[in-house]
Amino acid sequence: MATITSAVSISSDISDSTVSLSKTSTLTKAGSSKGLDTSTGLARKTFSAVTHVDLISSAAFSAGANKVYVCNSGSSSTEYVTIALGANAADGGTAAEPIGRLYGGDWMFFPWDGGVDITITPSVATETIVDYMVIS
Amino acid sequence: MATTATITINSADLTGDTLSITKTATFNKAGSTTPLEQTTGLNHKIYTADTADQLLVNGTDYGTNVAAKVYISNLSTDQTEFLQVNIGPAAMGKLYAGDWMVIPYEQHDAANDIDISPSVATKMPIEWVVFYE
Repeated sequence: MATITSAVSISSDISDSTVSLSKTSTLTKAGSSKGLDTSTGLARKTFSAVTHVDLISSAAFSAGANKVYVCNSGSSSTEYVTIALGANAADGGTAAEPIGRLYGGDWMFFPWDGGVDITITPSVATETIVDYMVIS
Repeated sequence: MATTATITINSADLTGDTLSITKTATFNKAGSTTPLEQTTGLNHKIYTADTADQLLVNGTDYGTNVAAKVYISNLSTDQTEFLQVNIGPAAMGKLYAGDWMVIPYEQHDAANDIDISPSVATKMPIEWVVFYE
């Protein structure tokens, strides 16, 4: 059984008093103390079209306490990728629900029950590099 | 002013080689190097009903088509308890006890709410914060 930890540290001086929070969790299977034990590895993909496509297909994963990490590895403050949940246009779907935009350097980490695809739409046709990993 | 978020993912035994990922992001406004300027502050809330799709963040409360960021953590200590997190009509996943998440939040329309569904009606504490433009 593998032991995987994920930690986040957020620091903000938006308000007068600095906000600083940190949280560490051990990634376990649904409703269990057993650790998640499968990973895609840290994948990297280059996108060069403004097209709505799958980043991670749900077909390859089972329902569970999966975790997903996605990072826009670019450095542009104006170029972004939109990450959404649902079918992409090529699958005949226009119902994908956007989560949000990852600008250059932004990352996200979220639970994923594997029920729907995770899709991506780059904002530009020039190269956009995205790193991603599923831990399941 | 600035807001930064650092993620670290580690495992010594998931694969034959040690897994170690660290990445720091600075939260800026959409298409800009200007930092996000507003925040809800860190909210602490205890849920005592297992009603489905309870509104956590309204889809247009903090602007539209923006680069907001959301942090949510399930503070339960019972490993069988979870929060189902949905974005609008789409099911995202379950935050089990101790789990946390950070996502960008576009807020493209009123249907883009973040809703949660606790798995139990006993006390389930969560913390959340939105950083926005």
